[in-house]
Amino acid sequence: METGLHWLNRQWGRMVLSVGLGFSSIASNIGLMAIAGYLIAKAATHPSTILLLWVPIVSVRFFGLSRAAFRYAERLISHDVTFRILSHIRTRFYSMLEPRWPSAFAKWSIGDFLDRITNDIEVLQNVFLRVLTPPIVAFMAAGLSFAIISVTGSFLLGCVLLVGLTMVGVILPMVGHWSTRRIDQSYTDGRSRMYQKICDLVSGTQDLSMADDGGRQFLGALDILQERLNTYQRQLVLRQAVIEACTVVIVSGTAWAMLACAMPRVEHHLLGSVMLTVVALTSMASFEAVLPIPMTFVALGENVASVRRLQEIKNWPVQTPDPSCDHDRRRLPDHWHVRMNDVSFSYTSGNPILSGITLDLYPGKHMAIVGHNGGGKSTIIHLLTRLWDTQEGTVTIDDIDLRSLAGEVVRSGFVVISAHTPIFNASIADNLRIAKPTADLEELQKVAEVAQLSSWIDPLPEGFDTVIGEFGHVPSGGQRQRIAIARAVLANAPILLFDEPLEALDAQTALEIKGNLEAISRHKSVIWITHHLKSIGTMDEIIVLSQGSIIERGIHQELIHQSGPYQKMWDYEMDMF
Amino acid sequence: MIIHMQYSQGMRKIVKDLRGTWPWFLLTTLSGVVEGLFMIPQIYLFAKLITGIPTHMESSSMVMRMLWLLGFLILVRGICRYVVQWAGTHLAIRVKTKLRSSLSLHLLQQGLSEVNQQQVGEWIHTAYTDIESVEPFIRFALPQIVLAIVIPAAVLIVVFFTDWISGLILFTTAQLIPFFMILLGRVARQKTQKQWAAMRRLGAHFYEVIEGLTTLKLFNRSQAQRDVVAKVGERYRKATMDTLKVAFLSSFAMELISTIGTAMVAVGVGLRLLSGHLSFTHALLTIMLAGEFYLPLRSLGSQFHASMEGRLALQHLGDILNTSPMQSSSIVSDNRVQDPVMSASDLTLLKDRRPILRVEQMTFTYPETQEPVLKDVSLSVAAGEHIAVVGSSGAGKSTLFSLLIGALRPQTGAIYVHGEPLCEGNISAWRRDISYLGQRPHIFSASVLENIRMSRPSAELDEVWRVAEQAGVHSFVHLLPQGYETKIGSGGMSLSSGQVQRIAVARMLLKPCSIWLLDEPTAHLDVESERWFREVIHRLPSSQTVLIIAHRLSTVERMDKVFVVRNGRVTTIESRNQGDQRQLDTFQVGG
Repeated sequence: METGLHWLNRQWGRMVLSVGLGFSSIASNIGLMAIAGYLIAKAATHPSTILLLWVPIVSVRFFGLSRAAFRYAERLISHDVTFRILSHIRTRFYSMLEPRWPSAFAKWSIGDFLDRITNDIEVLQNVFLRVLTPPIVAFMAAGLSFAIISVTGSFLLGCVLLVGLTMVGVILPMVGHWSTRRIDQSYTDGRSRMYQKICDLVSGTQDLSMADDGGRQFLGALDILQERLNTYQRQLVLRQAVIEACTVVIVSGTAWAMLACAMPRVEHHLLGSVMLTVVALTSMASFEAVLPIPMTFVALGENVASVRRLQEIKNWPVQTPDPSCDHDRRRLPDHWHVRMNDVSFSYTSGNPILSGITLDLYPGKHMAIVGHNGGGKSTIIHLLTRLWDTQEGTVTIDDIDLRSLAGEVVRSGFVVISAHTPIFNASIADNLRIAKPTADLEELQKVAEVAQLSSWIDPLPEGFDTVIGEFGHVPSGGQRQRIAIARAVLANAPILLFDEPLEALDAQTALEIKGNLEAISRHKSVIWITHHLKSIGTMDEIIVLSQGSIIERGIHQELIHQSGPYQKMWDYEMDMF
Repeated sequence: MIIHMQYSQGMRKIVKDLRGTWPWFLLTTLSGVVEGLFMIPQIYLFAKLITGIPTHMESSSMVMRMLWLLGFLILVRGICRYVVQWAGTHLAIRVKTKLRSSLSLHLLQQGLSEVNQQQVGEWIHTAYTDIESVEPFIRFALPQIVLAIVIPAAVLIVVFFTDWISGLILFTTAQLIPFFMILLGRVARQKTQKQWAAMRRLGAHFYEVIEGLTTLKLFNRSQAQRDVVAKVGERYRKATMDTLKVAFLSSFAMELISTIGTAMVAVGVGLRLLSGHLSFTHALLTIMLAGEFYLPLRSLGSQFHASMEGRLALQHLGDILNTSPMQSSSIVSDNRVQDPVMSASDLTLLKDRRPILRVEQMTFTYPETQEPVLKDVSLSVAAGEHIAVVGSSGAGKSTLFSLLIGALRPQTGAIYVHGEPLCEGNISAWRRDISYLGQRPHIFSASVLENIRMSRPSAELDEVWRVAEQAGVHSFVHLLPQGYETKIGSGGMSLSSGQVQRIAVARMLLKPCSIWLLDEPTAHLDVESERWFREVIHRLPSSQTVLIIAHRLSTVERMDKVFVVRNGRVTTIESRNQGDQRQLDTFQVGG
């Protein structure tokens, strides 16, 4: 919990205000009940004039109205403060996640991240609304009612009340938390596991629905997770219900005990009927503040687990740390001359992906990388753009090691188009502007032309403002890919990395777009990763990658005469088409 | 007491589906009622003791007896509360489990089509958060309706006996409460709908951001996204606060009514006490009961606002579960018009080969768009035919496939499978008979073995090895740290797109079926694998029907037929027909 407290940051003022209002509301209620009791009991003694009752009558009205007003204000402010803090936590969580991406993806699934950023933060709502301030309010209210009862009744009666309040406000919560903390943890884990399964189910619905059992087995697995979660919830409720029942019994029991204790004093005429009424009604009202506390603490284990889950990501090391504020390293390179020197690399799993890769890329040079599936082609892109850092060898830009450059600086020189680029549920313009937020309509039209999008966008009634995914504007695979291409072109970076960008397009469109891309990239550095050798005949260098090593390199004309793997691939392709 | 509630058809269906949970609902409500009713004698005894002890109206032994009776009542109420909690949780668990399994089943039966992938974030929200939010509604708000009727009524009866004027006051003021609830409930409903939408957007937004984080990072937009996350969160806070302002306002109004009511009762009771028309005990009892009279009504108000989300969610779930995927399909036209694209050779083919799949004058338009994607499409596929589907990007090829597998339903026209119109009754049998390879096969976060077996969980291990070998999965799996047990997918080893494609092919090979629908199966495969894959198709037994969406003409060449999708129409071209061959050449460019 203590680590969670810094999330309160600038909200202290509002928190204090909400405590103040919360106490005022409870105090009004106690005042209302005490004076109402006094009023009735006094009236029962048939006082000589009704004027004596004026002050109590006015106070009853005042407290009644102020109680409602204070409560309204308190609830508004405490909820507002909570949602502010939650919003802040979400942003913080995202800031922790961002630099650890994509390496953290090897450990946590998308569903897991999503679970944390939505559900765990939602659970924390409980902490800020119910765990932090209510005990403070309850403590103050307990003090007030103890004082009232000690004065009007006796010290002993005050103590009896205090015992009751302590049992409900301190002991039951402790017992509740202690007895459920393990189940709370398991419950949180179980919830997370089920949530991830649901994410998998939704993302894979298409594949599952075509399975020969219609996905029944997967549903069975989901049911098991749900059943396990249900078991935890059932175990929780046994304890919750006991705590709840105890609360009910203790609240009424305290009033009962106070009556029993008051009996001898009343018999000895130390306590009149007026004051006894005041004592009884005050004690009933004073429980209002402590009533919700036990159930809150039963759920505390869940909150602790959620806080822990949100913090967990911090322990995952940042794989590509930005150099510490060295201003020189924030300067953009002049030439964007990229070199990979004898680079070897493996992902966190330890399987070697690349070994001894050396390549040289300068403006105007067009390079192709070909090779079998899983040869490590895409990994080269990850290393060049500093999504990952090399373990052996160096990657440099203008002879500066990539590791001494901020990731943002490195990536400002690159643009990547891969086979599956996500398109966001936003307008087409906004999707394109991810590459360049300041782009005007003219620029958008220009890149749309390059990506052959105009014929699709122009007839749309809303044009570039058409929101993707809404009102049936669901782009096909090819259209999505062309949006991704247009977006990349808009970035206008000096180095272009193409990872099979034209796979999802029909031959005609692919050919046209390829021509357009070649036209705009003449003076830029280009790496083109592909399976189709026919399209790379004019490249300045071709690298053949196999199982992480370069097995052949040169230009097309040389390679097809070398009777090596390239020639074999070329023959295959010629044979097929 | 009128609760402002409009049941949609979907809601009614859900209520019907949840019939099995009625006993739990009754138990929760009943024990709540018992607990509430026992409060009345408890208060009576308290009042009697408070007034009786100082005035020596009761004898000492009588006081003791009353004290013990009071203790007993308190215990019974404690037990009732235990039952309320226990039964309530069981009720909630049952409802949530039932809803979740119906929704998952529905999702699989409908089969989220390729084009719906855009809504994955929303669906996750529905399947988890929406269902969770039903709990407070079912468990607290619904039983509270009963409590809010029974308990005030019982209190009222008692008060009419002790002091009928106070009873009249309580009765009159209580009439104001539904009035306020309806008034503010209307406003709150609109606001909640807004808030609910904002919440869904928040969830969907996070899904998108996390899914697209690599892209955002590559464009150096990931840090700027922080502000967007903050902004979306802020918008959600504002929408929520807007709702809460109204919700709390209605609680405030209730509280005012109850305060004023109690004050009126108190003053009246005080005056009658002064004039000696009322005993002290009855006066105290009346005042204490007045508080308890309003309590259930007040909590009904706050419970209803707290559970408004759950109500909307339940309605939403009902609407989803109420739509069956095949509902509006299969409007079979009686006038069997001669298929305009069917040539004479088609007809002879139909004679000796049984058509496995036939589409008649099918038109499909995406909801809320005017222009149909496919217009009056008619085509037929005979058993054993190998057919290529070509067309430019965005022409509707994938939409056609989604229709054929029943993930989308046509507005007019019909699809016949094995001679029968495709409908809800035969959709699962039909799907069992097809293997479908989509553009973006999903890799589940499970082992390689489980991922391959996903298409046929009952497959024997050696069958899995065989298809893995065939699909070229084996060559890279033996390099993985735990071989076939290696966890892949989200949160596991990440695979290249070519490796993903191979696993998808292995999945497809594992499932025996009579027709293959392949959406660009060789995209992302290297040349050798592509060549191998074509060999697989060529060597297929003649009984195996294949439809392939192809971008490269080399795929098209050896096919029996080609479906050309252009401008919403589908034209059938016979490969063997010379004239058609020339038409086909227009697609040759660039292949």
